[in-house]
Amino acid sequence: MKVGRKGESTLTGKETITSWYRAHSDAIFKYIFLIVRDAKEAEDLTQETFIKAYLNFDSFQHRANEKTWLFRIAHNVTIDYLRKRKPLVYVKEIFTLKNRALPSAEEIVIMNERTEEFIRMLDTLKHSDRQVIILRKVHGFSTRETMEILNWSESKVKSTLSRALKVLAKQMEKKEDESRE
Amino acid sequence: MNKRLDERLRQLNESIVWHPSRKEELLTKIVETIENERDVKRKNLSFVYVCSVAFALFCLFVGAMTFFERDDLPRYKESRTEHQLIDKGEENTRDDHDRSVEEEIEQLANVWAEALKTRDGKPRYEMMTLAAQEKFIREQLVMNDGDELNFTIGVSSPWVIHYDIEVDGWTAIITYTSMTSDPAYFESKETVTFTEENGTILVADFETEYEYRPVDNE
Repeated sequence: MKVGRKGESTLTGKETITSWYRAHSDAIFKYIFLIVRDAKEAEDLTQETFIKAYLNFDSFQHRANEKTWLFRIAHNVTIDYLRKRKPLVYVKEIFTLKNRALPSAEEIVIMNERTEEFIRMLDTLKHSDRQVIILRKVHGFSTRETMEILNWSESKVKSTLSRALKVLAKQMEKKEDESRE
Repeated sequence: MNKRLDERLRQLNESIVWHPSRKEELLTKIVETIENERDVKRKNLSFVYVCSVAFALFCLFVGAMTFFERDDLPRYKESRTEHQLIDKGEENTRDDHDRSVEEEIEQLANVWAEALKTRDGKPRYEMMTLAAQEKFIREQLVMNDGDELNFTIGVSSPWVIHYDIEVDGWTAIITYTSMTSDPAYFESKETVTFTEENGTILVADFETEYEYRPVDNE
């Protein structure tokens, strides 16, 4: 597979994916990790994202930003993963979200206690709220890019983000009050 | 509050560290998977290519066989197939075709002569045109004084002990040598004319030139 725009030096698919991996794998991994909350699974899904990118490279239009395109794949891969998980496990996880343990796989991800606490707070949000906050506020995607990644309308992105931020702000306020007491 | 929240969210990405060694390890896995994928694709393509070539050759073979099995071609399968395999050009094909016809006629003449030796007229009857079959039936009825038709040909004595076949175009001249228990020897000569009907070589006519001419010895 040879890729590249007209006039650009032509890279093989493998070379392109390697260079994309070096540029974006960190962000992709963290996005997936914050959604699935399992470091090992996040790695597997990151791998799947780049393999899918390689296999579907022909459908990549150079008009689009490669990062947005990769995030779109990551989003789909993550959604598929969540759907495929046994429903009972999934439901159980939803109900035990607050008490859910952070990944024990320290050899994969390192983060301090404060970050863990903040992530736990994010976990209390609805899945769609979490997605939009992570994309817009953590990864800094524009509304348009978020629309592309999630395949949402502009109004949905904006309204979900606004509501989610309010909920999260309340959570944060509550947490701060608790710690003050 | 919103400002602080924004700040925390912005910092979140940096405060999660994915082990660089894990990241490199995953890249190796991805590259391996891509290479395997390419190998599989290449293998699949090779397999598809081999299958396509095999299928094309098979179609060619079936097409050729169908062509040569056509009814409008003379039916001299065995010899023709053999010759087709060594054909080099149109001229050779024509020569081989003529040779095949001659060989086929010789084979049929052998069956014809052998039938007299075994006194069984059925093989002869089966290789005749309709006109020749009618003639055969007429002759058989005469031989049996108008009684019921049977396929026994020739006489019990003298019996055929040997025959020679000479093929000349579409005609075969068969010379039979017969003997009696005396022993006495006789010679008979028969001309068998062949024709081609719907791709099949058949006996069109048969005539006895002479019969049981005494010969001095075998």
